[in-house]
Amino acid sequence: MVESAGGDDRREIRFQDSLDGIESSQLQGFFVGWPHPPLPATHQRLLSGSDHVVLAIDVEHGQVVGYVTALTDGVLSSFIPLLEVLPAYQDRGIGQALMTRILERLGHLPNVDLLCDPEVVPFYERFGMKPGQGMVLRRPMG
Amino acid sequence: MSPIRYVDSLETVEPAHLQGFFVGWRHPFPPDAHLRMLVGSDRVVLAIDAETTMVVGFVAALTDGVQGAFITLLEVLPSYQQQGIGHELMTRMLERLGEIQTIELMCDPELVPFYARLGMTPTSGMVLRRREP
Repeated sequence: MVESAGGDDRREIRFQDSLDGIESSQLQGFFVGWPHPPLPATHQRLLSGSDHVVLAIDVEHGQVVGYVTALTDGVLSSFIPLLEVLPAYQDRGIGQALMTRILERLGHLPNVDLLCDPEVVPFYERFGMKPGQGMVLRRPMG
Repeated sequence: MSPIRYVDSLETVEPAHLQGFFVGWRHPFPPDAHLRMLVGSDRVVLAIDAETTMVVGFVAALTDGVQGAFITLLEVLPSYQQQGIGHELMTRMLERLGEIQTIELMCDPELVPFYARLGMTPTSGMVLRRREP
């Protein structure tokens, strides 16, 4: 699937739901605010290890500017571990487009869960999601 | 109490071994769908009654194999609860996810202390339930 976003954005963004043709050099500047951000090569491995991905790509220079991943058992549960849009590309609806596309890809699954910061709860409520209790364990990366 | 044995493979498990789970669900998953869900998970740990060979508890996880993992389901049959089986299932699952940096789950608020004992911290999350399972 390759689609172009419409609208008045200064740059044309294209969305794709495969990693075909993507190299780690196209994955720069992500994990903003993480104490130990994964390297681009690790980022590419975690994308490959996900069941579904959607990427937002700046058509002009080919860089990935946003992505979302999903894991699923294919029967009941799915989980969205990561959604990120590069700071320079935020506030243009790219995150919303990524979420809409990943939810379409998970369309047959009853349960979709994710953990998020409290300030982005309203963003996810737009997709019909409801706040819930999460638990997290963070371990240093070996 | 029957002796409990823990396994992390589905090799010897058949739908007939998966009875009585999804307590309180409006539409409990039938055993064959339960097994398909376990097969579709990236990691599982099962608690098996060594005498009856029935599965009495299970935990399932999804992971990208690198950075993130999510525990989808943890359940112990009512007559086997209060024996530490749930804690043991979680401890073994966290070991099985040893290389993964971030492990997350969603739970009912009353279970926060159970997961806090395993070193987990409360946080906010979102759920989408598209139909009653």
